[in-house]
Amino acid sequence: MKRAEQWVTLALMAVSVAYAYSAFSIKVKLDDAIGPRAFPLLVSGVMIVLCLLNLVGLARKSGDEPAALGWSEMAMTVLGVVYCVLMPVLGYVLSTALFMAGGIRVMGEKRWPLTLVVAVVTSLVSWGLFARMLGVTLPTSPLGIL
Amino acid sequence: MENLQLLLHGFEGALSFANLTSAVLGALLGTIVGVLPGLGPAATLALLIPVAFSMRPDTALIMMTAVYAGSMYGGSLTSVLLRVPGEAASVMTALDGFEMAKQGRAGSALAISAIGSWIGGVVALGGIVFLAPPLAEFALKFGPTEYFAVMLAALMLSAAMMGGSIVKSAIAICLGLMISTVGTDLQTGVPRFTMGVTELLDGVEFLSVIVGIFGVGEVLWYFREIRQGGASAERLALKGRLWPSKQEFRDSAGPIGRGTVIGFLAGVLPGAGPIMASVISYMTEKRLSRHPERFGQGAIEGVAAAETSNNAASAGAMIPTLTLGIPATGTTAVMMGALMMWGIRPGPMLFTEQADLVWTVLASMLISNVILLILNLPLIGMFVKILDISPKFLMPAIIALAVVGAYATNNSMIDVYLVILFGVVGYFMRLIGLPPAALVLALVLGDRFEQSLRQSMQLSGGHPVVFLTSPISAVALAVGLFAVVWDATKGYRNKKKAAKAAAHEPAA
Repeated sequence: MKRAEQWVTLALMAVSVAYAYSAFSIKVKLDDAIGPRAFPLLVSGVMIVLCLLNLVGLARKSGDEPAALGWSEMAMTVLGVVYCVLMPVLGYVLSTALFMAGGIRVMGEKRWPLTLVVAVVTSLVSWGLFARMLGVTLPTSPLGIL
Repeated sequence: MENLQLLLHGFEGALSFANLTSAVLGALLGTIVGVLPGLGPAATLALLIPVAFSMRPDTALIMMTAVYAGSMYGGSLTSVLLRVPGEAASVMTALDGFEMAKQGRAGSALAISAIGSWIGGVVALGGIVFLAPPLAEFALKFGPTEYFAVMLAALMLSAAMMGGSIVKSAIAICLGLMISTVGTDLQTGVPRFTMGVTELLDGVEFLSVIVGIFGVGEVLWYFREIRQGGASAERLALKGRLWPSKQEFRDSAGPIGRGTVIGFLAGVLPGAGPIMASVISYMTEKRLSRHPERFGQGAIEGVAAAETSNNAASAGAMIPTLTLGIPATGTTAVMMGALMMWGIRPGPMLFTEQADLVWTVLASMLISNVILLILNLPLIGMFVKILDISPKFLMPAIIALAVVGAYATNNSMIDVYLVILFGVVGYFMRLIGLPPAALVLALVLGDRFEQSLRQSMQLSGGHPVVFLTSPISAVALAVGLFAVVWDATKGYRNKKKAAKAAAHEPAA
């Protein structure tokens, strides 16, 4: 855990530095007592100090086994991104069914028929609930609701 | 008495057919989603916000308050039967609740939590009715200086009381503040941190952040828990009687009474209201009990105390949320975000400008508590069935639900990508122990926090001394600073105490 925490803290620091750097490019007018730049700089400064404090605290702790990231988390994240990319192209119903099928497989379900049935039913039911009953606009494909 | 009249008027609004239906629906949905393992009240609320999108503001808010109440109840179900508390405030419930379930007394445990929650919630609501209007009136005197100080104090208190390391809570808070600065600056109209993305000019969509962190983040985190063998907890059957015995009722009366008071008082404080409330009242009961050894072995007093006080606290937490616009917990922060989506800005003006709405919502909180009691006692068996749905199907469905919700907010794909991004952020936050609730709290406050800082600096001509010369501000800052210092030196004090105890040991 220690190694992972150090990396994440370092990543947070990098984000804060990039954020502070970008704060300098915000246009400010001279007549403002405290303009749009000050608060972001203040927050990122505090953030960097806190990250350093955390790193110091970590250095004192004894480390245990490094925590590996599982492939299933990554697979699910990739699936999520693919889902987002496909949604405007294929429409809500089809992309959701595909995502659900992929997601259920990642979760370890081996039976294809069951996977497909659950995926299609979830997609259709949620579409009916949101698009028909609740009047939410969902992306459609050139094929109509499919 | 005027307040009571206003409340009665609120009931008239809340009891219309549409509002009542949405309260019943909200209570049901809230419980159902809240029962899903891993989804606490904040996540439940976030995921169900889109369901209320197309409704009128009052109906939508009534639905959300009912969802809130339902999700709290759903959380106690998983605590008792699975030993999986949906949120930190139910951890104490799981201690004795799960033991009771093992002894075949799950029905008693669940019934007493429903009854205790109900009493705690209703009494605390009474407290809101009388306390909130005067507090709002007091807060009307606040200028930007006082506001900034009170918000800073609230953030400091949360950092200190969220549990875990104060540095980590503070990191989560700063992250939330950073996210809140993305978009067009309200005072000067300059874009900030938008990276050229037009959609980000309006800021990062709040719903995407919460749904990502609480929903998608939780699903990703679930994989890790399975690998470490944590998530496959044994699930106990609901067997035996569903109603507590006379003796159990007698044992629970005291804890419910005291839990209500402790819960309400702790709830009004910012930070970890319901968490603190459940811990304090559990410890109080253990100390008062003639058989403290029974605690942790299935004492109904423990369940009653924890559930009553965390529910009273979450009702109490509505006071700072509604009157000051400062939510006390992650869940009330989500609630406040929801209010803002319907164009309602919580704060002292709310009670004068939108009095009808506020009283209708307060009345409906009371009604949803009653609905829950009526629904939940007979429907426990059905809710338990939900636990049988395999996570294999649930987890992907939660992501899909999160995605639909985010898309529905603005019909924009950027919001959907943000959901996945914040899901990953939520995963890493859990990995290194940053409390997601702290981030959400800071995100909700962020805009006003910055604006009030800038306004007070403009008013004072750039002198930060104003924060000390205004009495309200000085007191608030002192309280916040005290909480931070107290928590930061906790390790040192414990060491000293241990050393003292060790020094005394040989003599004794």
